[in-house]
Amino acid sequence: MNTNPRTIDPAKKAVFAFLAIMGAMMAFAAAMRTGYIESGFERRSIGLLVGVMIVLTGNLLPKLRPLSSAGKKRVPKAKAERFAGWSLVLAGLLYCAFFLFVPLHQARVISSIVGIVTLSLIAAGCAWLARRTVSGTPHQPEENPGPTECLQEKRKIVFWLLFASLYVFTTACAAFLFGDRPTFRESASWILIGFSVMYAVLATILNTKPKSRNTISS
Amino acid sequence: MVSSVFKALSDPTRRRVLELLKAHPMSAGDLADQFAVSKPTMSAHFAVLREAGLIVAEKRGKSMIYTLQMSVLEEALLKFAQAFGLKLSTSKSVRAKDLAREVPDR
Repeated sequence: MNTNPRTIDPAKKAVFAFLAIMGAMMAFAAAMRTGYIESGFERRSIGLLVGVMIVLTGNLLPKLRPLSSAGKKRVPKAKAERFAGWSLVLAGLLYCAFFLFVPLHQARVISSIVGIVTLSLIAAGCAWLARRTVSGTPHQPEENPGPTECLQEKRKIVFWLLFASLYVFTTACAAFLFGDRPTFRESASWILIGFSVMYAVLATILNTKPKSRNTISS
Repeated sequence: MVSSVFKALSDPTRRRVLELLKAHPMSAGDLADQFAVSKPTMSAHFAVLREAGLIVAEKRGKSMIYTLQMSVLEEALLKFAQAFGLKLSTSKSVRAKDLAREVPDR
């Protein structure tokens, strides 16, 4: 009764969906460069795909809980992840709706603003949750014994997927907002540099994590 | 996969379990204390939830700790089911039979 062979691994599904969406986006971007399809259609498609990707990531965020193995112990990560998941799903749906139903030049601006507002909202919400936990009422300790090796690996995968999604989301918002200006190339490379630095820092933290966690939990 | 989620969400007791787990992870005993049903029945409910992938069980010492593991979509379905008190996908008699099969000595 314990094991259920019918269950499809949600992490695996997420990885495949992510790869499919990324492939489609690259195809559309390539088509735009070569001028194979007209620019309006493929911009809409890319916007839609970004929206779908954000919905997928947000949906799986509270389920696979990629953040629960990283960072400080006292932050109620389950709550933060649920909040971030809901915000991302709603933002992704809005994003899709804008690119489907609103004239393109307006959709680009509105959806980017939605994206930026959502990201700041998530950051603010997580900061608030963290602060409330540290200073305010003692919250129920997260009774989470060390996850199994396999689960930990899965969480790592989803964590990087989340990271990549955020990169694509940020770049897409910037591209849709400032894509026409000559300064955009510069800001795009700054975003890339920022995420590369974050990647390096996070990779270091994640790789040193298991040792320190063992000492904390024992 | 999806039908097992619907089945899990179709029962008010199981929905209540999920609501309780939203606050923080709980042990099987603490959860069972919140309900006026026998422990075997509760463990059958836990098994259905686990099978649907809505909760995970982790053994800690003598007790089982259950942690919520729901995607946004599944949580939305839970809210929907709760708002309308739905008996989704399964009728009462089928559920009774299901439970009887899962817990033969009940």
